Amino acid sequence: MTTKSFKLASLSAAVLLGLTACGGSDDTNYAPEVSGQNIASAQQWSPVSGSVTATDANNDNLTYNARVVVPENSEAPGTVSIDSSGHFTYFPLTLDPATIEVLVSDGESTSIAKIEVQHVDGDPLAYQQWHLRNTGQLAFVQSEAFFDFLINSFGYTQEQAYDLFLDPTVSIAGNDMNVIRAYAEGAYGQGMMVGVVDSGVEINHPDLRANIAANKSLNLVADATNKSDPTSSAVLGDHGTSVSGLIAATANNGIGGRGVAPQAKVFGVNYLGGSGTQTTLNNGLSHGIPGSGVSESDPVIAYNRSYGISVPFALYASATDEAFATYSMLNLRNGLGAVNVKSAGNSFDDTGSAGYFSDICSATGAIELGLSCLNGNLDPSNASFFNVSVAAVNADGTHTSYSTAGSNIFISAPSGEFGELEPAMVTTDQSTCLQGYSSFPYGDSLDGQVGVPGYYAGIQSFNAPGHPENVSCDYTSTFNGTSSAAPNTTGVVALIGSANPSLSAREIRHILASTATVIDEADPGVVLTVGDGEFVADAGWIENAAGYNFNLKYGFGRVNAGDAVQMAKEMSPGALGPLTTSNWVDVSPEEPVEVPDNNAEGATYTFDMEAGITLEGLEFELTVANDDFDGCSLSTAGNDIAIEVTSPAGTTTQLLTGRQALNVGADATCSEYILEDTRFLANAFYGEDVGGTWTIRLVDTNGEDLIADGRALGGAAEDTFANNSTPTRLEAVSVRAFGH
Amino acid sequence: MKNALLITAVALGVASTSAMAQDDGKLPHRAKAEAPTKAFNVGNDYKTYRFTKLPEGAAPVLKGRGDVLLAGTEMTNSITGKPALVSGIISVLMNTHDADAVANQLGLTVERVYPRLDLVLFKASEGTEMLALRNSIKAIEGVNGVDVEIVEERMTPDVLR
Repeated sequence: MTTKSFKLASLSAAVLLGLTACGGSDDTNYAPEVSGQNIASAQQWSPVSGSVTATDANNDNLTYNARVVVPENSEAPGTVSIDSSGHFTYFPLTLDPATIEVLVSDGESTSIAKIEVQHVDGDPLAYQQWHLRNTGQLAFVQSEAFFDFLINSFGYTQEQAYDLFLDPTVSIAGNDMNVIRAYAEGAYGQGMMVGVVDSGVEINHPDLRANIAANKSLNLVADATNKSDPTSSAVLGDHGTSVSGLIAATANNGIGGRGVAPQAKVFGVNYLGGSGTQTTLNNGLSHGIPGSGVSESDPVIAYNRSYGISVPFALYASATDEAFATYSMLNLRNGLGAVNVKSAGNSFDDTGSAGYFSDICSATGAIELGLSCLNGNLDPSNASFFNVSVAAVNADGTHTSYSTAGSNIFISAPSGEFGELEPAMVTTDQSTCLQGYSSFPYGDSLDGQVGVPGYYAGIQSFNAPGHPENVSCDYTSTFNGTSSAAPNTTGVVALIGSANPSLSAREIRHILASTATVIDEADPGVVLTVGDGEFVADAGWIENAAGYNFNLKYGFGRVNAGDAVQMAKEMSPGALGPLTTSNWVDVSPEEPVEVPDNNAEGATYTFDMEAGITLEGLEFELTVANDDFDGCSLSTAGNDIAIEVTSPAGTTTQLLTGRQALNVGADATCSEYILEDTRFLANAFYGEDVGGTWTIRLVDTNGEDLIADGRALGGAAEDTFANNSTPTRLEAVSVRAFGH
Repeated sequence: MKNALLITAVALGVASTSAMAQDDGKLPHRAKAEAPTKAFNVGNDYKTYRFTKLPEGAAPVLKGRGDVLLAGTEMTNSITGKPALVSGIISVLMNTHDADAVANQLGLTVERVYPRLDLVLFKASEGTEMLALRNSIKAIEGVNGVDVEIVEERMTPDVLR
C-alpha cells in the first residue's frame, strides 16, 4: 500500500456549533478531531488497511464507524470495516477510486474524515468473470452486437429477437465460488505450484508468463525443438492455455482477467499434444514421477486434468494409471500429496465426442427424464479415489446442459454454457488475432460452418477481432465444459494450499467436501415408472448419516473458496490421520443374482464389511452380464440396468441410474458382460463407517424395445435395441474402502 | 458499395431458412450434428481397433481373430477414427528388484524402473504377441497389474465448441 499525507479539513457541523454557542465553558462538549491519510494505490479484491487518528478534548470514549460513498446509479466500489481503534480495512470490488467516510463519535457529536482511495490496480475483464464474483453480469452474452446481428442478418424483428433470446436470469448474483472472501483472508495461491496436463500452455502469453513455474513445463511432442516449451501450434485455440488462465492468470497487471489463484505458478505438460504424446511414460511424467522435472519437495498442490474418455461402454481400469495417480496424491509435496483434479466429462445428453449411438440417449428417455446418458464412472480414472471428479454448473446456480453425472462426482464448479446465449468462462486465449478461439481463422471457420458471413462477429462478438475489450484477441468469452470446472476447482485447491501449506491432499479433499455449497436445492431427482412400480433413479440431494449432502449431478456441492480457506486456516495438519484402505475385498455372491425384467423391486444382494474405516471413498468392482449382449447384439440390457447401493447407516446412492448408454460389452468386447470388473466410486458415504451390512439392489427399468437413430452396428442408420429376453445377472462384487 | 449490398442480400437469403430453424431458441451451429458415419463393427480386429498394418512376417489370418495383438501393429480406433500403435511396451506393477529376472524369463528388455511406484516398463520386440505376454506376466507371483500400451489419442479435452 502506498499512502499520502492528508490533513483533515472538515469538522462536523456539530463541532462548529458547539464551539460558537457555548464559548468554551467547562461543560462544553467538544466534538472529536479526526484525521487520516489517503490511500494512493490499492489492488482490486485485495484488502488494504489504513487508520485514522482521533482525539477528543473531553477525553470521551470514541466509537468508530466507516462507510464507502456509493456513487449515484452505481454499485459500491468496495467495502470497508473498522475496529475500535480506528484501523480500517478497505476491500476494492471494482477498479473505481473510492471515498471512505470514517465517522468518529463521542456519544454526542460525530466527526467525519474522508479518506480517498485514489487508484485501484486490477484487471479490466475481471468484472465479467462471474465464477469469481457473480454480480449478475452476462459475460458478453446477449450483447448489443448479438441482437443487431439477429435483426439485421437473420430478419428477426426486435420483439422476436428479444422474446427468443433475451434472458437476464441466466446469471444470478451470488452464484460464484466465493473467492473474494478467500482473497480477503489473504489466500491467492502464493507459494503453490500447479501442473496443467493438457494440449499445451502458451508460456509467453502476456497474462500467464509472470505465473509460469520456471523449468517445469514439458513438450512431449516427439519432434518438438524446445522440450521445455509446450506452446501449442494449433490455430483454432489451445485448450490448455485457456485452462491455465482460469487457474492462474496474473492479477493486477492491468490486462485481461485473472485466475482463481493469481499468485500460483503453473507449468504445462502437453499430454494431449497430438499424435504420439499419450504414452505410458508420458502419462507418468504428467503425474510428476521421477524424470518429470518435478521433485518430491516441489510445492505442487494440484495437477489439473481437463480431459477424459466418453464412450457408451464400460472401460477396464488400468493398474498403471492408478499407480501414477496414487504417486501424485501420496508422494509429491514431501508426502503431503498433490490433488489430481479431473473433469467429469460432458456427456449428460450424448454418448461422447465420437457420437457413437448418440440417439440412444433419447430412446432410453434419459434426456427427457433428466438422467445422465453416460455415467461418470465409465471413464475409469474418474472412478478412482485418487482423482477428484468435478462437475460443471451455470451462472444461475444450476446444472449445465452437458456435465456428466454419477456417484463418482466429488464437487462441482462454475463453467457455464456456450458464451452465446448463456455465460461461459472469460479466460486467456492464444495471443494475437491470428490464432485461438478469438481469431480470424476461428471466425472464418465458424462462418463457413454456418454459411453466414458475419455470424461469428454477431454471435461471439467478444471473440471476434476488433472487440474494444479484447483488442489483441488474447482472451475468449466462450470457454466451457467440465474442462473449465476442473481448473476453477484447481485454483481453489491452490488457495487452500496457500492458506495452510501443511495440509495433505486428502485434507484438502476433506475441506472441499465439508465446505461445498448446496445449489439447486429443489432438485427433484428422477423417479422411474418400472412395470407396476417406481424406482428412484436419482434422489436429488440426500444427506448421509455423517451429515454430508450429496447429489449425483453436483457431488457435495459447488466449491466454496471462502469457507474452504477459512476451514484450512483452522485445520490442524494430520487431523484426518493416515490413509487407511481395506484393499480389495471379494464379496461376490456364490451364485449369480438374477434381475427380473421391468420390475421395480429388482433383486437385492447383501454383504458385510468389517468396521474401522471412516470412509473418504468407496470403490466397487462389479461384473454384470446378460446373454443377449453376447456378440455385440443390440440389446437394451445395458441401458435398462440400474444399480443402487445402501450403506449400513442407511444412505443410498445410484451407481447406475438406469436408462444410461451402455451399448456394447465391457471394454468394447462383444461379450455378454455389460460390466466386467467395472470400477465405480461412491462418494455419497463420505464420513460414514464402512462396517456393517451393505445392500446392492439391481433393477431392470424397462420392458420395451428401443429404436435408436444414429450409428448402429454394421452402419445402419436406425436400428432396434431389443428388450432383453433373459434376466441380467450380477456375478461378482469387490469392494475397496478408503478412509481413516 | 454494390458488393456490400450483395453480401447483405446473400446473408438475408441464407438467414430466412436458418431463422426458421431457430424457433426453439437454439443457434444454427448448435443444432444437433448428424451422426458420424464411422461405425463400430463386430468385425473389428481387436475391440474397437481395425488393423491397418501388421508387423513384418505376421500372418494376415490374425486379422479379425480378436485375441491376438502383435507388437508393432498399426491400427485405427473405429470409435475415434484416430490411429493407434501397439508399441511393445508393457507396464507391470511388481517388485522392481525382480525386473531383470522377469525380462530374462520372457525375453523382454527393461525399459524403465520406478521403485517408488513398484512399476516396471518392459519392451517386447516387434511381433511379440502382447495379449499372451500379458497373461504370462499376470501369472507371475507378486505381479499386481499389467497394461499393454496402445499409443493413441485416447484422452480428449472436456470442452465444447
